[in-house]
Amino acid sequence: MEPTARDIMSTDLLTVEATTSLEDVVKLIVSERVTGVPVVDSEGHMVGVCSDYDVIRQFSKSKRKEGEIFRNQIHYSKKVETVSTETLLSEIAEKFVTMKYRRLPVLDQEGRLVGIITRRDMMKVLFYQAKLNQ
Amino acid sequence: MKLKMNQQKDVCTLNIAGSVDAKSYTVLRAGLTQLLKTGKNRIIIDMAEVDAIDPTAIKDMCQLDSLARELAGQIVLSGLSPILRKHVSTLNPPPTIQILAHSDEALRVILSGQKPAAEAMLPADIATELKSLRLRVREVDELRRRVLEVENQTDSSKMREENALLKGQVEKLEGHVMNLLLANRDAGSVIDWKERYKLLEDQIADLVGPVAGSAPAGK
Repeated sequence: MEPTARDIMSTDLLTVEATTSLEDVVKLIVSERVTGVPVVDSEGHMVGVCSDYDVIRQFSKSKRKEGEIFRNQIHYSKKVETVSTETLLSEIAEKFVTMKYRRLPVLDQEGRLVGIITRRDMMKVLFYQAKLNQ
Repeated sequence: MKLKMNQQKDVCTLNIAGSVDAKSYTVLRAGLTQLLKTGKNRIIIDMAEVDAIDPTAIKDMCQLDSLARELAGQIVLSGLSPILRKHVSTLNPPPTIQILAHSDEALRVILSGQKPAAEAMLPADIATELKSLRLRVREVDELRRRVLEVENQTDSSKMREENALLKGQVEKLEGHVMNLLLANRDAGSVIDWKERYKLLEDQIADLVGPVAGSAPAGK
């Protein structure tokens, strides 16, 4: 039986809210060695993703480059590709290849964020599948 | 054999109960490979309620642990009884599967990404001996440090005593010199000045002699 997003997703989630400051997001992304974090509302519904790219763009677009900018709220991408818990592994792999995403958030039926699948997770799955099916 | 699974963060714990024979291991192996195939490569196998394990099962778990480690994962055994621990250690030459006393400890180790301690890679009896030897070495180091401390204290207190004695003698000498100076401050005439001066020098020499002699060598 082909694994689904539910089987391979990471449930140890790092999230931020839209009101989070740029400083906090920078600290989180750097200290946790991730390339971005999902943005959720108070009920856990996903509203976007704040990536390292978004952070750098916010810095470079700002006229004030001093410490003040760190107190600003984050700018994040609201248009984000997601998958459901039942999406098949082959479909997920296809999305990673065609869309060149770094990560795919996994949502439940109510649109709440329940997990995330990164390229790293995919590599692990493909590696172990190949090794154990030998 | 009974098998139960739970997940905390990205660590999966398999709780096993009963005997793990060759037949029942196929179920456990299916569970382990399924976890690895879905990218879950940090696994704790809690064997607190296991009374026997098939040797081939142990060898296979060691192989799966090696595979998990290829991508920074790990399979850890926990809660083994002393007999089972010895049994697994014999069949598990270092450095392969890690054995820890409790599943909580295993979870802490696996989450912190700690490298297995050297003791954990050795057979149980040698590991215990090594541990006690390390404790003894630490005790000896501590004792050595304390002896040095005491020696330093003795040296300084002896010097303080000598210093106080010398200070007293110097004060006494200063008092005598002052008295002599007061007694001889009227030199009278210039003619007997040399005699008076000589007398004063002799009196000072009488007083200084014993004090200088009691000073420590090299001073």
